[in-house]
Amino acid sequence: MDPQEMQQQLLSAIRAAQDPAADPGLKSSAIEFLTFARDKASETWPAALMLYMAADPGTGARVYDAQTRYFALEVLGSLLDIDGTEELDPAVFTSLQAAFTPYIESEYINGNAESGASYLRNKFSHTLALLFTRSYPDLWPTFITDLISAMRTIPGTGGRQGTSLNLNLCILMLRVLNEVSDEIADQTVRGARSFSIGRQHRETRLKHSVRENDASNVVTALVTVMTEGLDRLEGFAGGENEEREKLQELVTLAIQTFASYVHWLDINLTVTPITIPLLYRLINHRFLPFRMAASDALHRLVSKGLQDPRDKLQLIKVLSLPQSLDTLEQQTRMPDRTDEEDEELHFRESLGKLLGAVGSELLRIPDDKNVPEEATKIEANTMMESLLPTTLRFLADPFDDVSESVFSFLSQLFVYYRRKRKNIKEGLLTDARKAFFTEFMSVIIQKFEWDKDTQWGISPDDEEPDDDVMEEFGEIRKGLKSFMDGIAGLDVELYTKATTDVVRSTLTAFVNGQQPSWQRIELGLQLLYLYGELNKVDKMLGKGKSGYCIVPTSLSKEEKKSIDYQNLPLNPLGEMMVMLMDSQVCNFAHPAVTIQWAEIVCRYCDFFQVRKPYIRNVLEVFVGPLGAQNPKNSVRHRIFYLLNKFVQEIGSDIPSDLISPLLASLMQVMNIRPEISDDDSDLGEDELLFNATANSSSFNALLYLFEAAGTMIFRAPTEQQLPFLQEFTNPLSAEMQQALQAPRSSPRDVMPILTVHHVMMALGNLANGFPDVPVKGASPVKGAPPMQAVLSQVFGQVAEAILIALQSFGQYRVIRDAARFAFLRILSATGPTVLPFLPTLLITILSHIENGEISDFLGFMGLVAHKLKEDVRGTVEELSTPLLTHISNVINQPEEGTDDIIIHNEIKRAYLSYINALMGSLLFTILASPKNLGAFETFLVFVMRIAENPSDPQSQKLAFIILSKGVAAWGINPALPAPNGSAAASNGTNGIVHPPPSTQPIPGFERFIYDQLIPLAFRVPLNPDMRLKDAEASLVLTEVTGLLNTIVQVRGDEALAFMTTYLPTLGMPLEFNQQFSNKIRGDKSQFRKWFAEFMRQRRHEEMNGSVTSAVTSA
Amino acid sequence: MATEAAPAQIPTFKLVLVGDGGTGKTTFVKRHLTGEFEKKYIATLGVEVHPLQFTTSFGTICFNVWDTAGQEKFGGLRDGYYIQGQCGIIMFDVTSRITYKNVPNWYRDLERVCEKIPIVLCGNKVDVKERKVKTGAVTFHRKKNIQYFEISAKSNYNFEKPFLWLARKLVGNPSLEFVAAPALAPPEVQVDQQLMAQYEEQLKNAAAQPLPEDDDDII
Repeated sequence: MDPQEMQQQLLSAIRAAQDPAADPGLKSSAIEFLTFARDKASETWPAALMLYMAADPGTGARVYDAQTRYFALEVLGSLLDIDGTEELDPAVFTSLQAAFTPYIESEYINGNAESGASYLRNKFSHTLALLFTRSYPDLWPTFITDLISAMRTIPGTGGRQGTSLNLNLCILMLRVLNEVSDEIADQTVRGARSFSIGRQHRETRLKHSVRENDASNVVTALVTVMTEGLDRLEGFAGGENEEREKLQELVTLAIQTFASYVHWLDINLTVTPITIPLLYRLINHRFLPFRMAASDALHRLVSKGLQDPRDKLQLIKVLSLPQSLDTLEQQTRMPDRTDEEDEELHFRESLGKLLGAVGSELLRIPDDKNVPEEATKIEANTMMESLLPTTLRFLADPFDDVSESVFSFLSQLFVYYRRKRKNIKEGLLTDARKAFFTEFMSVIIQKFEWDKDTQWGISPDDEEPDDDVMEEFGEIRKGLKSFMDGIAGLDVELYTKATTDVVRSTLTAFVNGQQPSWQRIELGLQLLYLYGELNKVDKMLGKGKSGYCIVPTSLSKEEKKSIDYQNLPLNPLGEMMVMLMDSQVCNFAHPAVTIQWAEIVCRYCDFFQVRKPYIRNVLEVFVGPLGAQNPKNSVRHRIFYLLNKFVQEIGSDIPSDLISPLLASLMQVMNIRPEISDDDSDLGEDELLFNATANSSSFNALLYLFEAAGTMIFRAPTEQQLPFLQEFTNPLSAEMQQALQAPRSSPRDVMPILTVHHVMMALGNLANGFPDVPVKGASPVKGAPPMQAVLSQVFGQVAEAILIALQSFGQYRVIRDAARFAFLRILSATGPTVLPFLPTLLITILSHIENGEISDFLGFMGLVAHKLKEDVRGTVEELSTPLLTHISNVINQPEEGTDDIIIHNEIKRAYLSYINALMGSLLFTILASPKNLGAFETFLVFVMRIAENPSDPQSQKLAFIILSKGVAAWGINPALPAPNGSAAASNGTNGIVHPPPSTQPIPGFERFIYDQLIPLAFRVPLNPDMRLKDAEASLVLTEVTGLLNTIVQVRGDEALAFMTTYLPTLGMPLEFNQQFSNKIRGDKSQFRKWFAEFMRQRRHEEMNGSVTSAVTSA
Repeated sequence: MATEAAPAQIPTFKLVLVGDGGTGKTTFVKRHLTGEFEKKYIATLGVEVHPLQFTTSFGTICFNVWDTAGQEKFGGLRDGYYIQGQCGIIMFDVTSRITYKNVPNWYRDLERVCEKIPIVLCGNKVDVKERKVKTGAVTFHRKKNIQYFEISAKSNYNFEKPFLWLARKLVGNPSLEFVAAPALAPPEVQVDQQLMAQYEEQLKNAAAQPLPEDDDDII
């Protein structure tokens, strides 16, 4: 195609591609053509160049529209932007240079720079920068000097130099320099490219050449533009002015360009007696973009990598940053500002970041191994500490973005002090530092308080702040909390005093009727709540009851056990808790206060062991008008949860006379009302049900109350328990009954289903409030009497009612889930009472089961088997083969997409965990019982197949564990004494297999061991798809050797004899075959290492071997 | 062209939507009920323009969303489509590292054509549990001072956030709110609220971490 024709083709393709309404067929062929034009840029570039440059000879106006010319540059870019090292073909270079030079002259030096179509100028700058990367320094050594030397050309004079800057040309020059730096030296730009060694070499060479030849020219040009631009701007009085705007753009660009060169040019060029005052002139300029850009430039200067840390210290000194930042901080302080989006705030934030960067750099010097002199370290430390007062002022800024700008530095500061404290014997906390931390703590507390303008209250119209506001404030508090922890770690007295001061003064003000704001009270409660976290780090407060008292250190362990804690003096936390309770601040009606109060009593529930009389008050508040009956949904939901938590913790200390009124209060809010959100009106049945159940926060919160009620009933006097329980179960069962019979108006009428679901869940949670029946063989839960038989009977009826409901609504997943849940809870609380219903329950669920719920179902089965043991043998046995068939059918279904893979893996793991649990109990014999023997081999093969599949190492590992246990159980050699062992570990054996608690020798099982399992044990580690470097895969390998160990242990010499003939067929080194018998009988972990090493070697050889053979065959 | 689709009195802004192919740009725009939800992946050819209207506390505004092709071979005019863009969204897919790695390229092209426009970075597909780009690893927005949101076009999670942020910037009023929820197509999947809370938590933590340093040439 000749250039003329190409030009026409390009033109029409661009036109078609540009039009979103174009005919799809036309558009698609246009796009195809454009792709072709780019891919074959080495052929199409002359046409593109023509399209870009073509001008009317008379007027000089460009012939083609901007869109077309823009794309022409795209083609030129494709020509120039390559990964390799090659320099451009000189002929192509000459043509491009011959076109670009006059274009720059006519358009930028003398013309109007594309009349405001800045995107053309910008794209052209990039094209020029790309040309630079392919022609500098050999073809076009004067690239940079050519551009710079045109800086003062007077427009329209044919190249005469003047005294002032040519603004259009200067902007082009700066953009090109910027693009050059981005292309060859910017980490972000380079990091986003796929790595190419050719490109890297080219970039290194280009950077080197620029540093050698042009660096000082570049810096001088940038400094000139900044200085002269600033000077010229001084001359303008004000008002709108095109030239002034251009100058502002120019200077901003010059600062940004300077900043982008700082990190790769010699610092002696960029930090000079000229640049320093210039940068300060800029950072103090009234025009904000200058200040922002200058702050960024200084940031980059300070963060620049320097080999000698002493140079860094020198740099910070020369720039006199600590003093200047202090001044700038004062100048930018704006106590009255309210507009958070204000750009001035961004500037202040950038100053904070700059300060933080200086601080971080200084912190690094004392720890740097390259700094031998103590004097330098001390100087750096002193300078760093001189920044701290300014840092606190940034931290104290009412605007959070500004506060956060110094977070990173302050975090590092604590790391530094902690490390330093270890090395300093005489004590880190000098008076000066103590004063600093005191001030720091008070800034933290001040920032910790909710903003005084936050709209949030108890009245119905008061919305709580939006999630965003909550999140942002939570983020700030989290950061501040870490600083509090830092201070506590250095000086716990200081921290304690600050906290108790706030708590005391706040609560006292409340008691004295001074009506402190909700913000103030919430702050006090927050601090009290967080105080207990002292224990998280170093157990400073002591565990349990001792966390609230001053326990005499002289007491022995025994004495501490028998001491009456109620008579000990309280520690600060205990005192604060007394203040909290005595102040009755729980009556302060504000959502944030109520929730925080409840959080505190739950976190510090052990305190109530020391001061039991308060329990009554706490429970009354919990069920009262501000607690469970709070008008705010969000408060109520959280209270439900906390109330239950408190009841569970306090348990036997609930005053028994209080239980009846407590239950009565709770019942008022425990109505089950299924809700469907208005937003869900267009959803299908499944989504509707899902949203109204698992996704319903109000219903899920309510369930906590049922659990709490269960516990209270259990703690009630014996004679009251039955009537209390029936007060719940009777109406709930009736409600379920009614819902089952209610006619449904349409398939979208899900209310009856929801009611049944909710009732099932409520009944399950009610049962959950009762303690678990001890598992057979285990000792009963301490202090909890067994459930009365009459109550068990009630739960038996409940279980039956649930089963009946399940049979009616079993086709709904939410019902199956709820029934499973409720059964398990009832089973836990009552034991075998539910046994008669179990087979029907399981069969009903299985007849409707979906793939997504199989793993939950298996988890359920595992728990049932664990709890009921021999009592469920018949059911487990009955189910075994159908279960295997079902699961293997599901797993054999094709996997379409990641969702299927995830579900299949989940099912595999759940099944194997279930089997593994059986193998650890006496129930394992059902797998090979007469009823299931027919499927026994299928079962073994199924497990083997999973063991062999390296895509899911977790399942692989479990499969090997099961096989090992199987060998120990079924493969017993009657000639040998049975190995003895303890109960099986459910999660991994670490290669040491505990056999099942009994054996069940199966004649001929040894053939399976020799024909199948031993080959498997070698096949798996040698599978090239197994990634031995993975931690998970190495766990699999451990279980592989565990299997071999078990085989040898169980079969004895017979197995070793087999190995002698088997190993040579594997092609392993002779050494391996010879040592195998000794190694496997020796230390297990040594065998493991030895085995793994040989497998690695072998894999390595095979890999190389295949490479070699590939090479030879080629 | 599409600008004519919206009545003249409604303030209309050209929004350029860019990002690698398959990150969910088209799905994202089509969640707005002016288009239907696409289950199948059909690569965009060149560009498609969708006018999306939002009712705000300052009246109705319209984004003309230029949904550009992410795939190189269907790119057409590529950054040529950005011309006169007034705001931008860069999308990547949190389940694919390469799409995040490419973000700087999209940003650089966008910034070159449309200087100083408000830009939002969106990490899409956060509903997928096996994500590859962890929240804490997303730092690009902090280097460039642009806004970042985690979204899930499939489940409508945070659908409005990018538009709301851009609207506030364009109108110049941080108190602007969307008054009526836009009619969204029903969510295709449910986001796991706990997982989302965990991501948000990570995002907060990440913000407090220092940015990874560029390994500057040491001189």
